Amino acid sequence: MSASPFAETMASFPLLSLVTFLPVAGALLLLLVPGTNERAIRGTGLFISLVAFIASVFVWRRFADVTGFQLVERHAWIPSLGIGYTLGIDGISFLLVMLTTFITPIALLSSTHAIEHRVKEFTISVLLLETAMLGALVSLDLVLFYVFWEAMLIPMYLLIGVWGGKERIYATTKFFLYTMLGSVLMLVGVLYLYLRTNPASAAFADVLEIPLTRTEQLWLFAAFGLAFAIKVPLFPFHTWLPDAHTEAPTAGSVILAGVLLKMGTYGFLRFAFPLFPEAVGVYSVPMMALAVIGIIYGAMTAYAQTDVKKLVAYSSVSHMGYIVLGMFALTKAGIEGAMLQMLNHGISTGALFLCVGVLYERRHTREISEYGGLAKVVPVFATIFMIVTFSSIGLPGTNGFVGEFLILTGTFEEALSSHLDATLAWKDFLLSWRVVTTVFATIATLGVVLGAVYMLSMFRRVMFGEIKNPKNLTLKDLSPRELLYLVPMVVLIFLIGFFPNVLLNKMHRSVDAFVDHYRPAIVKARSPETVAAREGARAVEAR
Amino acid sequence: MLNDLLTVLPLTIVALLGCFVLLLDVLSGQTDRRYLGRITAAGFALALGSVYLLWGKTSLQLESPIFGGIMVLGRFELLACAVLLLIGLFVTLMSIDWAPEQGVSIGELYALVCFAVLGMMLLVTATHMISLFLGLEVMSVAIYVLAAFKRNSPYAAEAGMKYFVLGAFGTGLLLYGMAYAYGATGKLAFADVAQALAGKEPTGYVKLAVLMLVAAFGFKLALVPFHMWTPDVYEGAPAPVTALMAAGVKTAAVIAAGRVFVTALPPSALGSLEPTVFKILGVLAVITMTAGNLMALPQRNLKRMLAYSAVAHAGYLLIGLMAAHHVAGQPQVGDVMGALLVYLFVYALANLAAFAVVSLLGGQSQEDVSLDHLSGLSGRHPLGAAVLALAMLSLAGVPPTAGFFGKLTLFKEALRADEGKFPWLVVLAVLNSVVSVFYYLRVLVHTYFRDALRPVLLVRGTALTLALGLLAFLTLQVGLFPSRWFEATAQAARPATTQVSTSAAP
Repeated sequence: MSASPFAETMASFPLLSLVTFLPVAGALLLLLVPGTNERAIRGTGLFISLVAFIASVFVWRRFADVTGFQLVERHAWIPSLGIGYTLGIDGISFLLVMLTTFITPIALLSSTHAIEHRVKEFTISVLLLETAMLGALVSLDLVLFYVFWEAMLIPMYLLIGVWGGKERIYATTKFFLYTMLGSVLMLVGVLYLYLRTNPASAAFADVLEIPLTRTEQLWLFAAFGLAFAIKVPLFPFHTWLPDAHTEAPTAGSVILAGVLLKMGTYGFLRFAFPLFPEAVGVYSVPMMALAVIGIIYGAMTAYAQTDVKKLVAYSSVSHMGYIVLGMFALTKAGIEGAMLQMLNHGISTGALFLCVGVLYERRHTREISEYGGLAKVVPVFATIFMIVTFSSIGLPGTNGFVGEFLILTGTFEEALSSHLDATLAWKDFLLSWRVVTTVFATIATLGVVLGAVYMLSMFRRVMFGEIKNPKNLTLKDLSPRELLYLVPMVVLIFLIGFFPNVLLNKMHRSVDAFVDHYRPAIVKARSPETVAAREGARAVEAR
Repeated sequence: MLNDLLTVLPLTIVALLGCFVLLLDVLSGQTDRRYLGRITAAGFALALGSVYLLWGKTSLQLESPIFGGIMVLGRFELLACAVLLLIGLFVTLMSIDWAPEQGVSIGELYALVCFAVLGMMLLVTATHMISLFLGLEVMSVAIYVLAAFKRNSPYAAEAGMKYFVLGAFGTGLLLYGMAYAYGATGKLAFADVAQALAGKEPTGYVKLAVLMLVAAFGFKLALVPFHMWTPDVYEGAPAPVTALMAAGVKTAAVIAAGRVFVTALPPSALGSLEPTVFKILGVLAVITMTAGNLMALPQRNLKRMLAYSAVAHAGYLLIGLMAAHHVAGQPQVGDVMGALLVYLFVYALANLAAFAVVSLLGGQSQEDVSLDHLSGLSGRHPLGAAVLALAMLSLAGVPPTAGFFGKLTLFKEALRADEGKFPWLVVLAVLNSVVSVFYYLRVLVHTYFRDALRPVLLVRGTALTLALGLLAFLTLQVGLFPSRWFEATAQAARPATTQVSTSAAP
C-alpha cells in the first residue's frame, strides 16, 4: 500500500470554524430581531448566508494543492472520552462545502414570497441547517460528525413540517424516522470502532489505524452503509424522498436535493471506503446493482408522474444512482465523475426545484396537465428552464455531461477489455467482475436516454403546444429577484460544462491518493478469482 | 464521628429544611403559601452549594464508609445527590405557581418534597440493607402522600391508592429478599454479603433472595411485567409530583439497584446462578423497552405517554445495570456507574422539562393534558413549546440535546462490558429508540405543526418561567459542551472503583 492519503496540514486561522458557525451566529442574532419586522429578518438571514459564502471563498483561495486534509483545527471537546473537535477539508469535502454555502443564500432568496408566515423561525431553521451540513462535511471526528449528521434532521423536519404542503406531517415524520433508523445503527458502528481504539479516541485518523477483520468490516459496512444508503437514497431505501420533496417548501427541496442527499454519497467516500475497504470490495456488485436499478427505476417512475415536483424528485433517485455507480467502480475517472456529479446534481436539481417553485408561486398547482404552451407567455423563464433541463439530461456543453461522461468512462474502464481471461470457466466468466460491470455500465448508459425521455417530455408538455388553460395567458415572466437567484445557477451550469478542470483540479490530488491507496485492497476483495489468475500467470512467467 | 457528620451535610440540610418548612407553615398564618416554595427552593440551592463544598474538600475522608459502614458519601454519591437536589429544586420551582392554580395551597407539599428527596439521597448512599430500606421507605411514604395530594380529585386518590398498594407490595418483596439474604449469610452490609457468598454454591435461600430483589427493583423501576401501576399513577398524580417520580425515584432506584447488584450480589457471589440471572435480566430488558415503546405509541394523553416512555427508558437503563453487574469488581465498574448517572441526569432533565410544560398547561385545575391541548402551543407560549420540543428530542436521543450523550455513554459502556450478548441488546435498544421517535415527534407535530383546537389555560409565573428557561439551557448545554459533566463522572469513577475493591478485601 502507498502512503496514507490522509496527512494533515494544520490551519493558522480557524477559517473552517468561522464558515461553519457563522450561520449559527446569524440565527442567534435573528433571535434579537422582532418577529414582526419581516424585511429585516429576511435581510439579515440573506446577509449572514452571503457572509458565510464569502468566507468560503477565502477557503477556496487558501485551498492548497496538497495531499490529505488541510486547514485542520484540533481542539479538545470531551477530553475525558477522547472525543475531539477536529475539522479539516480535502478535495472530497471542499467543493461540497462551497456548494452548501452557495445554495443556502439562493434558497433563502427564493422563499421571499413562498414563505409568508413564521418568517423568523424559517430563516433560523435554514441557518441552523446550514451549520449542521457544513459541520458534517468538515468534521474529522466520528462522534462530532454524528452529532452534526443527526442535527441536520431537526431543522429539516421543521422546514417540511411547518412550511410544507398538505401531507407535510406524514412526509416529515417519514423522513425523520427513515433517516433515524439508518443513523442509530451507524451510531452502534461508531461506538464499536471507538472502543477498538487505544487510548480511546473517536478521531478519524485514529480510527483508520484499527486493524479490522473481514467479518468486522462486513458488519460495520452494513451499519454505516445503511445510514448512507438511506440518505442518498439508494433503491430500495428511497421511498421517503418523493414524499419529502413534494411536501417541502421550495427552499427545503433545494437544500434537500442540493446538499442533504450528498451527505450520503459523501459519507460513503469519506468513511465507508477508507475504513472498510475489504467490505467495499465484497459489496461492490450488490451496491452497483442497486445503483443501476435506481437509475432505471427512478427514470421510469419519473416518466409516469403527473406532478412536476414528484417527477424531479424521482429524477433525483435516478441521478444519485449514477453517483453511487461511479464511486463503486473505484477508478479515478469514476470517483472524480461521481464527485463532480454531486455538485452538478446539486446545481441542476436545485435549479429545477427553483423553476418548479416559480411555476407553483404563479399558479399554485404542480400538475403538468394544468400547463402547456408557456413558452409563448414567459419566454425568459422558458429559456432558463430549458437550459436547466438540458443540464439535468447531461447535454454536452452543460455540467451534467461532464459528470455523467466521467462516471460512465470510469465504470467502463472496469469493464470487459480486449484481454479476455481465458482461464475461467463459462459460469465463472459470466459472473466475473468485468462482465458484471460491463452489463451495469451498458444499462446505465441506456439510462441516460431514459433521462432525456422523461425530462424532455415534461418540458414539452409544460412549455410547448397550444395554451389550453386560459389562466396561463396572464402569467408574468421572471421578476428581477427570480433572475437574481436563477442566473447564477445557469452561469455555473455553463462554466462547469465548458471548464470542468477548474473543479477537477481541486480534486485530483485527493482522488489520486485515495484510489492509489485503497484500490488494491478493494480490487482484491471484489474479484479474487482474477487476482489469483493474474498472480498465477505472473508466477508462470517468472518461471 | 465529626467527619461523618460533616460528610452528610447535604442530607442534614434537606432534613432540617423539611422540618423548618413544616413548622413555618403551621406557625405563620399567611394563606398564600408561595413564600414556602421560595424558601424550599433556596434550601435546595443551599444543599447544592454544600455538595460543591464537599466535592473540593480533600481533608475529609470522602470515600470511606461512614456511621459504622451503613452508608458512603464519596464523589460518586455526591454527584448522585447533586442530581437529586437539582430535581428537588426544579420540582419546587414548578410547584410554586402551579399549586395555587390547582387549588392546593397546602404548605406540606414542599415539606414532603424535601422528605422524598432526603429518602432518595439515603437510598443512593446506602451500603447496608437497613439503610437501604430506611431510604426507600422515607422516599416512598412521602411520595404516596404526594401522589394523592389533590384530595378532591378522584384521579389523584386512585393514583395514591394504586401507588401505595403496589409500592407496599414491592417493599414487601424487597424485605423478603433482604431477609433471605440475611438468612443465607448472616450479614446485612452489602460487601459482607458478597464476601460470605463468594465461592460457594448458591443455596435455595440465595436463589429466592435474588429473585425477590429483582422483582422488588422491577416494581420500583417499572420494568415490564411490574409496570402496571405506572401509567395510572403518572396520569393521576399532580404534574410536579409525577416529575419527582419520573426523575427522582428512577435515579435513586437505579443507583440503589446498581449498588445491590454490584456490591452485594456480584457475579462472583452468584456462582452457577449467574448465567440464569443474566438471562432473566436480559429478557426483562428486551421486553421492557419493546413493550414500553409499543404501548406508548397509541397514547394521546401526554402523561400516560411519558409513563410508557419511562418504562422504555427503564429497559435501556437495565442494560446499563447488567453491564455494571457484569464487570463488578473490575476497575471498569466505576465508569459504568458513571455512565448510568449521566444517563439518569439527562433523563431527569428531559422529564422535568416535559412535566414542567404539563404544569404550565395546568391552569385552573385542569388535569388531563392530551395531545390536542398541545396544538398551537408554539404560538401561545414559545418558550414552553421550545422546552417541550427539546425534552422530546432529548428523550429520543437526538443530538445536539443532552439525551444523545446519555445514550452514547450508556451504550458505549454496555458494549465495552465485552460479553457476547451486549451488542445485540444495544442494537435492540437503538432500534427501539427509533420506534420511540415516532411518539416523541407526535408531540412536536402538535406543538409546532397544528393550530390550536381548544383554549388551554396556562399557568403563568416567574418561578415556572425560570424553571423552563434553566431546563432548556441545561439540556442544550449538556448536549453541546458535555465535557464538564463527563469530567465530573470520571473523577467520581476513580475512587468508586477503589472503594469496591477495598470493601471486597477482608
